[in-house]
Amino acid sequence: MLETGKISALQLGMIIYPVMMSTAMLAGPNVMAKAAMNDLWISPIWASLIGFLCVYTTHQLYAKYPQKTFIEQSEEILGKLFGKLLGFFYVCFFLQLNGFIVREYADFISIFLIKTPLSLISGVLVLVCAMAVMGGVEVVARSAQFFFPLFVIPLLVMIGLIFPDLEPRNIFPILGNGLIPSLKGAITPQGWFSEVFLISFLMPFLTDEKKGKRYGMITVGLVMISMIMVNLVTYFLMGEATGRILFPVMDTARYVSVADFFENLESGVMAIWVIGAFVKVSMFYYATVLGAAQWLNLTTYRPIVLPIGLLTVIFSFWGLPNLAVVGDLHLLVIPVLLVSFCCLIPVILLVISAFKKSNTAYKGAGSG
Amino acid sequence: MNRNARKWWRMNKQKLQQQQQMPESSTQIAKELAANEAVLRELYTNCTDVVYRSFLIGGSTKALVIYIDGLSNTEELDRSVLSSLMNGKISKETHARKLVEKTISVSKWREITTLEECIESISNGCPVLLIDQQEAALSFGLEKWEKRAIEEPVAEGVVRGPREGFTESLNVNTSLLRRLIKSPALKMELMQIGGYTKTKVILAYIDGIVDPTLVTELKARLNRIDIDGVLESGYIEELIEDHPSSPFPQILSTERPDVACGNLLEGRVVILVDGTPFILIAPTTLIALLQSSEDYYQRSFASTAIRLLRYVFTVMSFLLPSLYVALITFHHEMVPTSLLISMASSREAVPFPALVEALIMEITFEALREAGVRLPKQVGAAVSIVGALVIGQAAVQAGLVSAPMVIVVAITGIASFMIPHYIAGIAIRLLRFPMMFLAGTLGLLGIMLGIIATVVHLCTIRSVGVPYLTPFAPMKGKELKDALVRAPWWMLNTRPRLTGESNMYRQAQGLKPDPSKGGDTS
Repeated sequence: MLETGKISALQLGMIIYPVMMSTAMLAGPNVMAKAAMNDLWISPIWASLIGFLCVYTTHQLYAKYPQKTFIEQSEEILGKLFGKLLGFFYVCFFLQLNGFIVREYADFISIFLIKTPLSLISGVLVLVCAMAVMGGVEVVARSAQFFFPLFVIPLLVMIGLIFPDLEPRNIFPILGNGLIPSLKGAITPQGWFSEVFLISFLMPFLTDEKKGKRYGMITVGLVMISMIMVNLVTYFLMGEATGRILFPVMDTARYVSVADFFENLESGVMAIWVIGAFVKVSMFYYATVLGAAQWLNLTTYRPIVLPIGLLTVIFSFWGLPNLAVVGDLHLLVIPVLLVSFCCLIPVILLVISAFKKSNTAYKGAGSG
Repeated sequence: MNRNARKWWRMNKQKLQQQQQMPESSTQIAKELAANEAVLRELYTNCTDVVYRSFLIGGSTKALVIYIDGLSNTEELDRSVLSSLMNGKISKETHARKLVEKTISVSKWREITTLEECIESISNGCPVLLIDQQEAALSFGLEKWEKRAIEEPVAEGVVRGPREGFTESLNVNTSLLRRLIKSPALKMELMQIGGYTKTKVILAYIDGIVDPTLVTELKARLNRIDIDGVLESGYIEELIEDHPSSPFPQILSTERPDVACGNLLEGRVVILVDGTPFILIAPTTLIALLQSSEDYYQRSFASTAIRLLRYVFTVMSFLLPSLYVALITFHHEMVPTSLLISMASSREAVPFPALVEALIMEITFEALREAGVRLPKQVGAAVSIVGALVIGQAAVQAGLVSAPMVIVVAITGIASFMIPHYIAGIAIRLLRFPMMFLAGTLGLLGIMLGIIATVVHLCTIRSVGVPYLTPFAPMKGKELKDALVRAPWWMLNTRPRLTGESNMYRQAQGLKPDPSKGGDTS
């Protein structure tokens, strides 16, 4: 057994929430407002459908092949050769994606630390995440659980503090241009929602397996609600400008002013957001490490934690020359990749496995 | 030269090992008294504190009493053993057991058959009576030595609560426990650790509440210890903890019997070590280190408020200097303008960057604290005067440090002393320094990464199998009422679930007092 730790379904939810939410919290309103304008709050609802589908497929696959992660399942379904091939693609995909996430984080942080080199910023984060991954799934889960309130409560407090400045009329007219803008706005967020696929790498370690699916669904729902909330608040505050501001939540924090003392809290938002980035990167990191170890049939994954961390830092630079390219990829390429790897392929595998199962059942009946 | 030294070391090591070898295991007591005496005198060569007293039982049979001067109650020995044996008319048949039954009026005694037991008894202060032509000797429980009286614990003061503290002698400590928990379910298992010191170690737990695997695990860990001496429970603590490479204490130490009993009742195991007032409690959690026994004696509102205050200040003692450094160095915009101006003006004359300033002040403060602990009491006042004057006034006036930094360091210092368990305070104070470096290099990001790394570390460590951050991560909703806040006693129905679920409830349901609930005689 590669992983001996056990986590609870609640912890699963608390890992997955920041995984989906941390990017969405920062860049979400801007991305969705660009396409959907004042209907940006509807986009998460469309996007979340992918999330629910992902949870469903992942759970179905898990029910068919219990105690196995996706890498092992694909081997079972597609046979040794194609399964290994697919596993290889997945490990590479996770590596690339994690590198991309680290790069996004580093680009964001470098707004605050202008002179600090990107490699240092990303290297330090990956090192901290390596500490968590080294401890195994239990440590990742426990730290996510510990940080969960620290991630959620400040956001709520911030919303409370800017409440007087909100202008709810900004969102009218609702669906003024029909459904199309809000659907267009859902293109990028559906990528974030399909990240819920990562529960495939956590389900085998659940103490209460039956609750896994339920908590996955609840988490997707909560993320949807949080996204709607963040979108609404930023749009209430900034109106049409939301689509032109790169990180609207940061600017929202700038609005906060309590008793002329708590002002300019954007560094605070950065601090809070680092927590989300930590959970997100560690979860992807863990999935990469576990997947690679299963793909290579290793008996322990600890020796490959640091090498994969190094690769992650390297992948955060390869093919990503500047912020503009990163922003561009982030809008369309990454979501398409995410949806195809996290949703489409699992669905195909599920269909294949359904055929296969019925075939073997038929054969079994014939021979018997 | 070097080679010779190594050779010499090797030879000496062999010699040491030879010396350590005890007399051949389990030598039976010989029939001849003279032979036994010869062996013992040989073993106790050059030990002037060993007293040999030979006499004749009933005027005929040769006998010998051996004890160590100052460890035994000689008056009682003279009265109950020597005088009654020498004066009484005793028949020729002087069987050891019969002697005890008929003539010796000592309540605590033991029959021993080997020389090893003899030596053990003698070293523990129990006089040994050897009789000629007998293969059994008698050991009397007449140990008595100078003890410190039971005093108020120094390190853990309370306003309300018992004022007794453990002392250095083991039997006093066990009696303190037994006086609080009278049930026979309180078990105390004796062990001996230490090649030379032969220190008595007692493993205490309440049968039926404790998880049996916990007891076996701790026993196995204690049995593994092979050391020449145990002088304080700190030795044991470092030898049985789960993660030696962690600044956080994974075993709680206390000198308060009420704390020990409270933990026993929650299903933990208490380890008492002879020779120190500090007992060990395992398993423990981070939150237990931040709780004082008084939390349970004060009203729950007061305790909750004090607990929250303590948590805030614990975080402050960890983060305040680094936050200050980060704000001054990187994030000016977060400081309100008027405050920023006053801070900048006071920092104008300071030649150092904020990080260096903070390090100088924090290290000086730590030095003052350490000096305050170590120095004789009469000089202590001088240290505090010098500290207050030099650091509080002169350094600021000379422009070496800024006044806000002095305030920050002072608050941090006070905050770190709010942590009820001194040793946990040390861990947090130590981690403050790397945090300051991170803040000085990466600003708020550095602080966040430092916090994350610390939390990840805390999530990694366990104390005898119990995750260190319980009940926060893994979350245990039922236990939060005694962690985040201190719920009133009538709500604390369940014990903390360390492991297992046996004997979950510690009191009856519905104990909330209410005028309608009776007890009213009118």
